Amino acid sequence: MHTRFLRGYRPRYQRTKKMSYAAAAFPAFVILSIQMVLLGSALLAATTDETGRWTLEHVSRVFADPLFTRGVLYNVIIPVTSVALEALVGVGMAFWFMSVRRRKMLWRTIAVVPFALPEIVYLLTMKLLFREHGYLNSLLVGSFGGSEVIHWLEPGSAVLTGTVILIDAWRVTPFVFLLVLAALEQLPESYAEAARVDGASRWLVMKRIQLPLILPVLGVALALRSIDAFRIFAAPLVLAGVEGLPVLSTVAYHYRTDMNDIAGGSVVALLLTAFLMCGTAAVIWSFGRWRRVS
Amino acid sequence: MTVGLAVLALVNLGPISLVVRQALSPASESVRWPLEAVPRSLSWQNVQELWETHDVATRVTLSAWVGLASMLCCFVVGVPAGWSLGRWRAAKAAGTGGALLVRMIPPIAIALPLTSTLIPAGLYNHPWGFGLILAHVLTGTPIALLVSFAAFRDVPPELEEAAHVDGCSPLRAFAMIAVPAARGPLAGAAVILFLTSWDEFLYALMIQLTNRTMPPLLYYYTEYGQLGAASAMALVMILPAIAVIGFLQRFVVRSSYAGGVL
Repeated sequence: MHTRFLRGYRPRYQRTKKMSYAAAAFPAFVILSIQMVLLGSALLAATTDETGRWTLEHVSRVFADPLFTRGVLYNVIIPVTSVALEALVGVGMAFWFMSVRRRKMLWRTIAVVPFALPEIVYLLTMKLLFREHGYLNSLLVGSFGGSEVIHWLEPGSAVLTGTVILIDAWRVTPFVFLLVLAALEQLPESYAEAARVDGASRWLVMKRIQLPLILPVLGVALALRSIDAFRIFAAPLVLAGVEGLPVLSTVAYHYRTDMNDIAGGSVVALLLTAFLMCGTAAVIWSFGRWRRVS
Repeated sequence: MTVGLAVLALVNLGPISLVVRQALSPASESVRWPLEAVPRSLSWQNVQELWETHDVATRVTLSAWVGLASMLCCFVVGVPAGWSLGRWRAAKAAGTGGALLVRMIPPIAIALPLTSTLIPAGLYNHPWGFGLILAHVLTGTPIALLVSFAAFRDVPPELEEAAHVDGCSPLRAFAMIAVPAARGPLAGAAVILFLTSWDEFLYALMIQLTNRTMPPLLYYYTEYGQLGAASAMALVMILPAIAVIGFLQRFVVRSSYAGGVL
């Protein structure tokens, strides 16, 4: 009877518990594995020709396509600028919003609108506004006269890039704004008070006390948001079309849907995935280093 | 301060009023130049056209069905997994790491092989959207898992141990004790999953070619210049968003920070 309690023996309840945990986690494990299998299938499509042999012809074909090169360029410019803008405007808005005293909930709801709308609806509103015979040009022509309209969404122009960056950044700024505002509201009043007692101006309090304290929250939000920004798809597609402002997701979509080139599409999609994985790894590694140091 | 708030209201609410204006004005208003902010005549023409010609009722039903079905499936798969990771220390890192890793994959990289797989399986462009439901479950499960993981960490395991003393098995304890204890965050996650599916664009565009849900349909209307119909449909799409806008705002911040969800 004493042998029942030797090392290695687990009471029945422990065994049942472990089995229940495994059973509960199993369907999710299957779902997650399916996605890895699909990625593997894409890798296969990207690196084999019709006979099934290993080949790099799809990769070289894609690299030679100017649409792909433009896609890479825009896929770097747009997310980087967009996230930078979101950070600046979001943090600025949060600090400014701290001095709103009345009806805070109403104004917060209004501020959140671009992020809460479905993305395609938000893009429709922006298209109505920015297209050649849209409301913004109508307003400008109506106020300033003349017949020249600004081609905000002219394919291949810098104005288009700027407009798309602005539209995409404005959609996500409420997210950064809400996060930073929540972090600011949770800061204890005593820090800012102590600084003010020592004679610090409001700007100095903001820069030296509040900003460093919310930096962890902001860092995580921006890291998550950057990774999502590189996956941008709907905004360039709806506002400019694939040829007008290519990014890697739309280029892959174009290869698959318009040109029936599954291999080419897989190459582009996998390159984007690899880039995102490296980026995530880099972010996690530097975040870990920063936490250990500070 | 007041100026700033007024500008904020204008920039955020203005475009929506433009959609309303576009939806409720006849086509003749759109060819006038320059366009006027307040149309000279209103008409239900766009809404009528949507209802009769474009068969919008089927689209709304399909979107709602896909949203509901994918939300339920994500829950069935993700919530028990989140619970088990919350309680099982050995698998916690691997499970949450795996979920986060899968979340980082760009949708296009999954959509391309998925469409190639769905076609022989007969689920491509299915009238009841089963292929799309599968796609949404693939993307939604990591979210459900991470949110429920964060939620169940706040539920003390002592409750389940106390239940065991009374003879309750672990799975029964999960269903009858842990889930009701975490129903707040889980309800929020349900809303988020439904809305994510309702608004989802990329998979819907690639998988449902003719039996479309609303987001790709809106895109096609915009592409082919039928802005009146697009705006009317956009108003229908906004309704669930409006219904939860105040609730969502508070919840998104808290749970996205806790669960690493965007």
